[in-house]
Amino acid sequence: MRSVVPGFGVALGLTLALLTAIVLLPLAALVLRASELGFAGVAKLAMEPRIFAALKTSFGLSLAAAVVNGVFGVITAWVLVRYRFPGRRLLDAAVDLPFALPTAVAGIALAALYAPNGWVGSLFAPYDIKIAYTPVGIFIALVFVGLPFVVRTVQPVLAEAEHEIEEAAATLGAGRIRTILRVLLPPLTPAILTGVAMSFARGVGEYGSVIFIAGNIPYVSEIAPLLIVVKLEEYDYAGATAIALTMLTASFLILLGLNALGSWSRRRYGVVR
Amino acid sequence: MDIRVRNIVKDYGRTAALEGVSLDIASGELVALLGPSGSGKTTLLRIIAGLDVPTSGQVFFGEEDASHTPVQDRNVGFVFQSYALFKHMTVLENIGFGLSVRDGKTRPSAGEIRRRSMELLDLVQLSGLEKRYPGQLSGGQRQRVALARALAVEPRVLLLDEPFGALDAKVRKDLRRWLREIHERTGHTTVFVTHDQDEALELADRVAVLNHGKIEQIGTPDTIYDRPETPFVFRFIGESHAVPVMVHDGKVWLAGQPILMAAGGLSEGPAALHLRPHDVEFAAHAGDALPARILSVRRSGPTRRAEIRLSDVEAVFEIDAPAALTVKPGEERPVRILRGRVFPV
Repeated sequence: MRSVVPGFGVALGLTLALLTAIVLLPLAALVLRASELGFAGVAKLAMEPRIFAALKTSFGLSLAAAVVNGVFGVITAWVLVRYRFPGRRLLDAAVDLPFALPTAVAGIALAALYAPNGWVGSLFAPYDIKIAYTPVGIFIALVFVGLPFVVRTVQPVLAEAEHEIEEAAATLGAGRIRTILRVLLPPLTPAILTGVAMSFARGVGEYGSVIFIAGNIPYVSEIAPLLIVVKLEEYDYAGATAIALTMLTASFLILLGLNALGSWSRRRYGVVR
Repeated sequence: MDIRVRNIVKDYGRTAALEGVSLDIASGELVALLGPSGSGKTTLLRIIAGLDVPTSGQVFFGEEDASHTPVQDRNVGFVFQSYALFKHMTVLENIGFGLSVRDGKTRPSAGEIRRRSMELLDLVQLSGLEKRYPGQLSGGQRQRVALARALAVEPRVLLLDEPFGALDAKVRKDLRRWLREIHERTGHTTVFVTHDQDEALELADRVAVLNHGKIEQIGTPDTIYDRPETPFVFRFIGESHAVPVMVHDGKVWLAGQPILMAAGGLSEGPAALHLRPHDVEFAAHAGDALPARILSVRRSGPTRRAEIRLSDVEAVFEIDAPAALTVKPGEERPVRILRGRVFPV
């Protein structure tokens, strides 16, 4: 069948060439490098206590931050779409700041705020609660960088939702909570899942904003990307490669899972046609 | 359930959408709110439903003052112009929604909800489509699902906002007849909003004509069509043209000639004669007729529609003539006015 807009061949060729050069080639190099270690070698390195702890910190906290972003991102998107208030445009623009800000700047700002002598940190210090230089600090940094992903994926879907379906639910006797749970949220599920997946992916790879606030204490608040740098500085290329490959595999599997969940919910809740 | 609306006023900021509207609707009646866009008809419907809050005034459902009852508790069936179906639910889930969100004890069992939803699906003649999603239905089918969903909660009153607005002409006609049947079978007190006079006159027991936030006239379709009380109703219902006339000595004068009826109750001076195309005919000879020139002629169903200009006054209007009568543009032909309504200007 001939399309009105020709160029499938050219477009696909370009896409594949770019994807290969920019994404697949470096990943292939990584896998090639790791293959020198063998599967058992990589597994053995990954299970090494310090590396394993770092991987756990990275994935666990990223997932937690992504879930929290899933909740607050939806609320933020709701406020931006549904209400008209002075400063709305400003707030809307501010949502993108974590995208635009150099991550190191964000990290330093967060560290200064949450350090025991910072504005926020000093409020908790008297109760012996430390935020900066603990996993909680990492979590906060990851929430910060991940929030825009959820807001920006949910916002357009929410904007397109008919206002009248809420009124319809109300005339049928549904209260506020039921309307939200049964009428408003289900059609948003695919978008929310996509946003959460992206927020998670960003969290796993995040480096700049985390290292300043994390404290980077081995076994406690050391993230995997930092450990890679540490290994490289020690000329332990095998270790660095092992961590990288483990992260790559785990990230790929988790994203695949989230996307599968997304497309399932799209079929279940998505708009047909 | 009968509905009484008392002195409803609704202000949107500075502009008034409704300026003191009162309306009595008998139990089981089918009433149309007819008017041009911006006349306040939809606002009135939404206020009855509880979706909008009036600035002042009251709404009674039977003896109960429902003015302060929230929409969830009013137990109304509302069909939106856009249908507002839940796209992520199947047809059956959509219809059963109202029952499934009821609280604990009043909620029927899942089997009962299913049974009643299937019954309604049958009533709206969509059996077999229960597993479809709204996106897989045609406009007319969605409309029926929306109606079934509204009926499922056993509403005290059924409210429809431009129920056929988004459908094409053929489907509209079919659904119109079908809605009338459903109304006769279920006996719900029903109010629907429309800007389509044919729809209102054909479907409703009584029609309320709204303009600029006020009810101009309310009555049966016959009353509205045959005895319009205001120039607006005359103009809005059916086709009409206005011709300037003079009231003098108890007679109505057009171009220096006294015409038809006595001008009872009209004050002396200029007035407007409102005519429908079938209120005027071509006269065989000049006699008591008015000289006129034919501007254009076109075929309109069983009749010929001629646009004419009265020679002595600056007035252009249209006449329905039998198709057998051949008239040509440019021809001079006397016309006789058979009836019409005179309103003061």
